[in-house]
Amino acid sequence: MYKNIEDLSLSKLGIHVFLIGVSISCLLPLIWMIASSLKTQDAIFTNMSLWPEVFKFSNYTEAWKGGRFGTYFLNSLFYTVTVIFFIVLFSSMAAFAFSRLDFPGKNILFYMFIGVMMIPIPGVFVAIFVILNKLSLINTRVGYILPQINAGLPFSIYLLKTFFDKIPKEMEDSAKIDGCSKWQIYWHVALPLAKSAIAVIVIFNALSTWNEFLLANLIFSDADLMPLQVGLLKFQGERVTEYPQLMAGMTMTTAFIIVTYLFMQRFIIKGITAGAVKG
Amino acid sequence: MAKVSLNNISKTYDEKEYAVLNCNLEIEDREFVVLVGPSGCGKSTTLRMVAGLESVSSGEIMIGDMVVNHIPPKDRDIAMVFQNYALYPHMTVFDNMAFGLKLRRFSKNEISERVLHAAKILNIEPFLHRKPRELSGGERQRVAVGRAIVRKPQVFLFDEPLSNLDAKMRVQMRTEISRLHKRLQTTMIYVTHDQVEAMTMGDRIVVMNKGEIQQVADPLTIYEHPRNLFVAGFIGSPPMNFFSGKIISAGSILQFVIKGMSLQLTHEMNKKMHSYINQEVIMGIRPEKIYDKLFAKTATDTNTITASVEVVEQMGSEMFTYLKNESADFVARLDAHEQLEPGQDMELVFDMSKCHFFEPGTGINLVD
Ligand SMILES: Nc1ncnc2c1ncn2[C@@H]1O[C@H](COP(=O)(O)OP(=O)(O)OP(=O)(O)O)[C@@H](O)[C@H]1O
Ligand SMILES: [Mg+2]
Repeated sequence: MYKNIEDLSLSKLGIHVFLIGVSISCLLPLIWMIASSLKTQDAIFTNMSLWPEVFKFSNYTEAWKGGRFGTYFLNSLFYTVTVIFFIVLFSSMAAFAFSRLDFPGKNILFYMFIGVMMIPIPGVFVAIFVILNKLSLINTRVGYILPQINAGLPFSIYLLKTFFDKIPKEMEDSAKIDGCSKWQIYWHVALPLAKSAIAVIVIFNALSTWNEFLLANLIFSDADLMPLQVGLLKFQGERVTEYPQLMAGMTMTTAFIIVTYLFMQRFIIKGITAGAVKG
Repeated sequence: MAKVSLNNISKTYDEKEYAVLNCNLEIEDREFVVLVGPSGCGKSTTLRMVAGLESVSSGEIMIGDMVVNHIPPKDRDIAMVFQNYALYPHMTVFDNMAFGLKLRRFSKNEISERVLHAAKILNIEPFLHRKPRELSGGERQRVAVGRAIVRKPQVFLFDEPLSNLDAKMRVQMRTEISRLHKRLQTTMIYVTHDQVEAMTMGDRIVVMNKGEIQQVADPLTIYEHPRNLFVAGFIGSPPMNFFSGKIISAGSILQFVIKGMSLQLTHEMNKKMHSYINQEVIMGIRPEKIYDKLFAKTATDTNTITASVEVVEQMGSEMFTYLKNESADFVARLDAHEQLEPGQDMELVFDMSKCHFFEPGTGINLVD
């Protein structure tokens, strides 16, 4: 008996050591980034400790204002929010239609969407560029947003459709008898039940939009329209020497994603339909 | 409050087979009608057509004086309770019940008044702020009923509302729904495949089979005067015993014979069965109309047969005795205190005044 317990705790200890190691290796760069963002320009090369001797919070304000970082940040925020909003709106309506309505060509259309999921986005960059060019959308916000909405839709539709498919027919029937129109079923019943799926969609698309670099790099020449990822590159190029400010900018960039994740995590609760219908 | 009429209703899903065929039914205002039948016989389909959840292939449905064939469910002034409750999991009990009223733009006061009133009737006041998943099956079903009654509809529709509950809960909810009907005085249509529910709850029972209505009558009539073989076999537990045999005439008296066994018809039956002499018929008799000869009042040579006991099912209040002889298997409902051993022979008396004769082809009851 005693031996078993010892084994158990030994193996547990091993696992813990391993996991702590992984955490440290993930967190260290982050911590280093945050620490560096608070150091002075001189200290960054001389003081290797993770604890700055002098906290220079002004790096943040300087990055925000002087380095146009604020513009990039707000651009990114705008792109991300807009893209997500339309992805959620369109994908939930489309998924609801695919799942709950009958219309000709429904299956073919759906499989087309699924098929599109298999094409990697960079594979269609040339096509996107040509189309945007013909529509004179190069170097515009709309030109940057539309392809990203498009790219996010298939997976989101697929995910939400599987979710809506699981909503029992009786729930829809009972909503109809309660007085719901199709739109009201979508709004009052289907959407709230798909909350956790929507949270997943928001997180995934927030990540990909926030971190998107290639498309932005391709279509933007006007610095006022650029999102963070391209902006940071420019920033680095222009101010090679301003490491603390660059780090401050990167800290803010990362913080957004972490906050989004922590916030949305609450909504990802399993078994959201549990108890609705006896299973 | 309204009556409901089905005029020659048919429904086909695939243009080939009929789920419901030529149903005619008049449901009176304030009546409690139970649709009963085996699985797949079209009960739910019929109910869903009344609700407006399913289109009608042909025929006419009327609620009150209005033909509702093309009126959507929300405008039919009906409420429905489903087998699996179909509560909205993201809403509290209160919101579940209030939802239909909110959509109809009732005032806040009116809504909470109605919901609280319904909650009181159904004893679910303590749960009003819980989510459905925090309730037991019985409580959920009550909420589903509550959601129906707050709307004060003209007609209530129930589709097997109790079949997900355990036996005890089912009995309790059964009486509660009956009581609710008395209290609300509203037309109710109740679908079940449980004949006990049908017998105990319905003012009238509609027995369906294969999409067609077999018989519509009050419970006792259905039980004592089944119109055909199907109704006779479906209602009653254990079911009616059937014997295939022949009517022969022995002088002025008719007899029903199977192999070695012959039973004499009563005078009344004699008249009705006269035209079936020498024809094959099916005789049906309920298990409780077969008695142990030792206790029978009216034993004669012409209504007594011998059979051996195969299995005895002790129910406490009575005993289902499965019997067998060379011509037939049947079951008798005997007193629980009889001492019977499997394998023993016993003499049984048939109450021939309570038996039925059916035509083998059509299944029609020849004596009722
Ligand atoms: N949506 C549908 N599409 C096609 N056929 C259907 C549909 N719903 C029911 N049916 C068919 O119609 C017939 C009657 O079904 P219905 O659901 O009315 O039976 P039921 O009497 O309610 O049975 P149960 O007691 O099992 O609920 C069945 O043969 C069934 O297969
Ligand atoms: Mg059914």
